[in-house]
Amino acid sequence: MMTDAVNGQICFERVTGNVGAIVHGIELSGARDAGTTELLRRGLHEHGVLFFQFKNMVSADEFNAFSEWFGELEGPYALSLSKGEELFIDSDRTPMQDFSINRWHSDGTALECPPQAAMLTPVELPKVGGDTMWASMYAAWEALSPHYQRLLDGLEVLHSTARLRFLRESPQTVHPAVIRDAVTGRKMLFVNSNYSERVIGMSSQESEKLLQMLFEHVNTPEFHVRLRWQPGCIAVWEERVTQHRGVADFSGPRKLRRLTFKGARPAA
Amino acid sequence: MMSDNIQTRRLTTTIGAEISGVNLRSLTEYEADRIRQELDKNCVLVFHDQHLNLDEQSHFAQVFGPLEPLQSLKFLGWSHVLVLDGLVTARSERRPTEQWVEYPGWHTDSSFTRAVPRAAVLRAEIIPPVGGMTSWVNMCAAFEALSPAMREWLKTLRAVHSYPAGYREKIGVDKLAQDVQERFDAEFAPRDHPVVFRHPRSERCGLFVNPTYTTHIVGLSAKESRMLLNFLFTHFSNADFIYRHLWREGDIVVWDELATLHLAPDAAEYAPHRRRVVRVTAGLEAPVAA
Repeated sequence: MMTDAVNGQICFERVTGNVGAIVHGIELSGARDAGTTELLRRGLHEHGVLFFQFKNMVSADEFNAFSEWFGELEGPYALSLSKGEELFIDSDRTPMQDFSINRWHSDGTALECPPQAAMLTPVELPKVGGDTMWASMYAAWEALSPHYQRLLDGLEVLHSTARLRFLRESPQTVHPAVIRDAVTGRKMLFVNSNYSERVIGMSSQESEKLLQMLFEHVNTPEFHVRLRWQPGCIAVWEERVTQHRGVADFSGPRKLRRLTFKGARPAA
Repeated sequence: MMSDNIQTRRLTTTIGAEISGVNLRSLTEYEADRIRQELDKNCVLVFHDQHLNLDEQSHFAQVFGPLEPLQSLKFLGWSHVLVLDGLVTARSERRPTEQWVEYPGWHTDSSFTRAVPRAAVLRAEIIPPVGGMTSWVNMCAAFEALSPAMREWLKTLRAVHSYPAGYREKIGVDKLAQDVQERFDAEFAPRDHPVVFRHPRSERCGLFVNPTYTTHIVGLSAKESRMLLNFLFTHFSNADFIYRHLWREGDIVVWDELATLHLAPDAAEYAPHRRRVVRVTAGLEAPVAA
């Protein structure tokens, strides 16, 4: 944990074999430079999720300023429930179980261009519990047998809000089942249990069985990292390289500030 | 003159036909030909009011090839005749080469061997007053109902078949000399077959997996394999592909072992009554990849 940056260089401390790294050597409000920006963005695509730990609770302004390391923010996140407001993941307004936050998902994949990345920082935390987990879709893809990889590569999946009855809007779109990361060149699995409705060209039973198997596959501990939130922590994740979920094991309020980054259309 | 009394009535839209207007004791070459064609087409044939004895049944079975026991039973010197008696009697009263309780679960006979019989001919000797139905599923119809993406993918896979726990004991292999047991184990080691076969005469493709003998798909993880097999097993057991036969005195039923799986009734289903059926197998067919 005490691996501090040397000579102003940042360093990534991997926290599991497959996903997640703590970033050392970044100041919350330090000056940005192109070289470090490039390192951070590359690190995000390699590790899937980056963790930063600062001394104190991060304010809205600090959070916004920090986001500039990672790219261009989206407007109000298209599937959010609190349009026009500052976006929070707030247990009082969107209890995890009711809003499928505690199921593995990528955000907004029913959109043609879902967010590329997102970041969270706590505002109010329960005494215990309410962790967030991420799963590596590189690892999920690579752990499939060559036979299943051959079946999936080239298939297309309808993403919709059919499994999320609470949403006001109901966009839908088709994405490849397997996409490639533009930065690392690695392939990854791109189906998730909140938005992936059916596999194009398969019968309902075939599609549902296949998707259920993949949803279960994503829930493999070897692909996961779990963060216990502390005040002053910022987590940034790549929305295609990872899926995420909350852990609904807490009582009392849990409120996190969230920002999302504009995304490209997922491509094979 | 060619007989033209032979008539076919389909029993479902996907599987099974009743053949009438023939006497299985004295078939003309034309009738035998028609019966072979109808079997290739319908997978299961039902003949009522035949009242054959065992010799006549064995004679008729040769329409489909030389009499041939299941390969695992042939190894033990058993004949092509298998008596399946559902009465729960003391095993000691039975001659081991003739009496056997039926295998539970959908299966193709001895799919864990190199080749399965081409056809099986079943005759009921004792029919319970109610129940005791035998079921068959057309694995070609089941395959054809899958999506093109799934069908093409399945054609590239192979599955391992193996006899289940207790099978060696059931047929008495464990009581044989050690060297014979070793030869049996070598000959009937787990073996892989294509998941999809092409039928040699109908040219239709069908699924060659069954819940009794198929253990896993080659090259898949245990989870993937279990999921895929469960999916296929649920898929084929759809009523759309199944014919169930309610036995009548004098019936003969023939089925294509490659193209179908069959399911015998559990003895508990017709208890306390007795059910005794006699099966004769003929010909040999190794599944060939589609």
